[in-house]
Amino acid sequence: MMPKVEVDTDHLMEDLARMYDSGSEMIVSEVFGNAVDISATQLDVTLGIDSRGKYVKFVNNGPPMNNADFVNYNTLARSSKKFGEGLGWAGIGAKLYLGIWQDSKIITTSSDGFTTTATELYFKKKQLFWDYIPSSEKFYGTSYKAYLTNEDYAVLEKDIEEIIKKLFNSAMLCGMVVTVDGKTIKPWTPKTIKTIDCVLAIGKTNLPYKVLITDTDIPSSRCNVEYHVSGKCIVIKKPKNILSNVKSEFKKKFYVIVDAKCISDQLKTNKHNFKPGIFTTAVEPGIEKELYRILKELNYLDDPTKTKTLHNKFSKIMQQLLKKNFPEMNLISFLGTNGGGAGKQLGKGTTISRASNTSTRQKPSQKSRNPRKPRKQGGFSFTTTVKPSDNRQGWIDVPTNQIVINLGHRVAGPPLKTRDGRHYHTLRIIASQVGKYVSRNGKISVEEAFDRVDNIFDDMSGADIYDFKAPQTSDAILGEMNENE
Amino acid sequence: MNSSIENKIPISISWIQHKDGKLEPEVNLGMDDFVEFDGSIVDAIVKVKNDYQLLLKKAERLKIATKTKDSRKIWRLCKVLSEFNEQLESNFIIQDSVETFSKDIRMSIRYIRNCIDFVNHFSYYDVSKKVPFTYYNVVTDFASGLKRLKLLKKEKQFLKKCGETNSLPNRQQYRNRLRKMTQFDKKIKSVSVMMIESDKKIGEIK
Repeated sequence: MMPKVEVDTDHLMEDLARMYDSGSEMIVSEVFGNAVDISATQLDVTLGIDSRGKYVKFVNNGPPMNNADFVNYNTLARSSKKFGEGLGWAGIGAKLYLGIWQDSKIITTSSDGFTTTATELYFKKKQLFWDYIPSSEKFYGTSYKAYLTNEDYAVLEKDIEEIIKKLFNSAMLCGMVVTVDGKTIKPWTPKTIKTIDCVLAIGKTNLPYKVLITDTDIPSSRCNVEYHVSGKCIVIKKPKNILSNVKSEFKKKFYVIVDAKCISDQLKTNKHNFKPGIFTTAVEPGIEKELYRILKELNYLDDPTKTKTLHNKFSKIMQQLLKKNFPEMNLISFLGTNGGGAGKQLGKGTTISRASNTSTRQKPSQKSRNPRKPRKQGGFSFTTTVKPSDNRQGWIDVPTNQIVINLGHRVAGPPLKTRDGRHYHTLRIIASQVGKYVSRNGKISVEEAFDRVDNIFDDMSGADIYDFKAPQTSDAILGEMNENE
Repeated sequence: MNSSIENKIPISISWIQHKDGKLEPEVNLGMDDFVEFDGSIVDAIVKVKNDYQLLLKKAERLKIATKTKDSRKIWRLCKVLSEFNEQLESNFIIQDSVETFSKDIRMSIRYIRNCIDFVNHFSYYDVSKKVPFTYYNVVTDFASGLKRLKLLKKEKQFLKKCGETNSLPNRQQYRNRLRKMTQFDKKIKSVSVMMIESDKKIGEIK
């Protein structure tokens, strides 16, 4: 006879429990999820202490379990639920707390108001056991009682309301009544001035979503798009690709609730996010695209010309600060200001006149008639390279007289992902390279160069680049800064 | 992200010598465009750099094709040059591309301009293998005048037929022929201007 593969149950449970960040959040998430999956409309949570220890008890009013259900329920990795039809499918969630603390006991009781069945699940000598236990409780539904560690009990005692609101706010908004120690929890309800119901079609799948326009700021933790499955918040995402276009006063005044039940087959096992795939390639971009359209209609987006002014503000201020702090430098030669550097570099040994560009050959009338003419590169410019093997983050290329920024350097990765990061990264490299160049030429000391670079950073942070209320022109900002000085 | 030509980010190409001694074309772009770029700027820069290096390789073939005088082959390579900035999948546009190509391919600005005009005025099927590229250059020099007179299409057919029947006129003769045709256009124009002016004067006297 072939030897049977044995399962190291306690080790398996421990490993599975590691999917979760904390035991307290896991227990709320899993038990609440089970209640939602069986369409319970009420859930009462009680925290208490008895002779066996500290516990949390959840009682839902969903359909009660029969004996066969109990056998399935107490079998590891067996579930009556189907994958992709709701939150649960793995058949491990309710037992998982035993993987966190093996001294715990999980008592599940189900009653139809007349007959009651109860079981206890526990670890003994590193083996998982379950037994029927007597119970005199009479109610309609199912209760789940788990004995907790002191730490998890303390966390739940303090934060259970917040955890429930964070994870199951949508379920409560949809009518689920939740009480904690007899006190009804009020869901977080944004003060909406407008609600827009829409459907996002992805292939044959339709994702319903709601856009709530609020008149007060929504909390930062809820900004801005919540994806939920059966009322459980899976993840809250900021629409980062469009947020920079939203007027600052409206950035926290819209909230989107996406019912992602039809893509629940894309859930990660811990149900705290979706797997990379259709969610990242179609759902998230699709929602952002729709949201962009809606916000544009509501006039919540920045005027592109105003945004452009704001964009130019950074390089203009930087240019002026560099000029102010390094008057010894001819910045135009390094940073190609006033018209960029197109065609001015030396090729493979050939030189040409920079003046011979297309614009000088065209008559003004022809220029204005040509709608396909691309815009000109203006302001500061620099040369980029992607050389992971080069340990320099930036340098001044002497033959071309240009600042080169190495975007392939290993420290360049994270800053390049955000706009602020790019600002900081370019400012740091350009300022330090200019400082290095000036000090190398003996015009100032190295110490002086470092001080001036620090000054540039200090002045930039005081410039408040993203404040719309601040003066829009760089001259005005610099004037204001000088006044403050 | 696809971009229309007006929305593309203007860049220029700089040749930078790296630590390993290799001279490589690198992308020079404005700080504001760099900061505001939507998506992975590194991927976009790597792509445009690779595309440009590929273009330079193809341009080397253009040089060889110029020596073989196969106009159809030249046309295909010129097409690559002319369309580089118009690639839909690219976010960038090379500013002053003619000058940039001229330096990096080491061909004159006039030649590059002729190559691009050649593709703009002639389709692949207008071009005959038996007609040297220089004849097409002559036509492109007069193309705007011929277009105004609606003679460009006829001229293309004439050139193709001459090539096929080995009866191409001498290049100078051909240039003179086109000059005469377009001068006629200028004369007509000057006559019409004179007529309008005389009409105006008559109107004023009345």
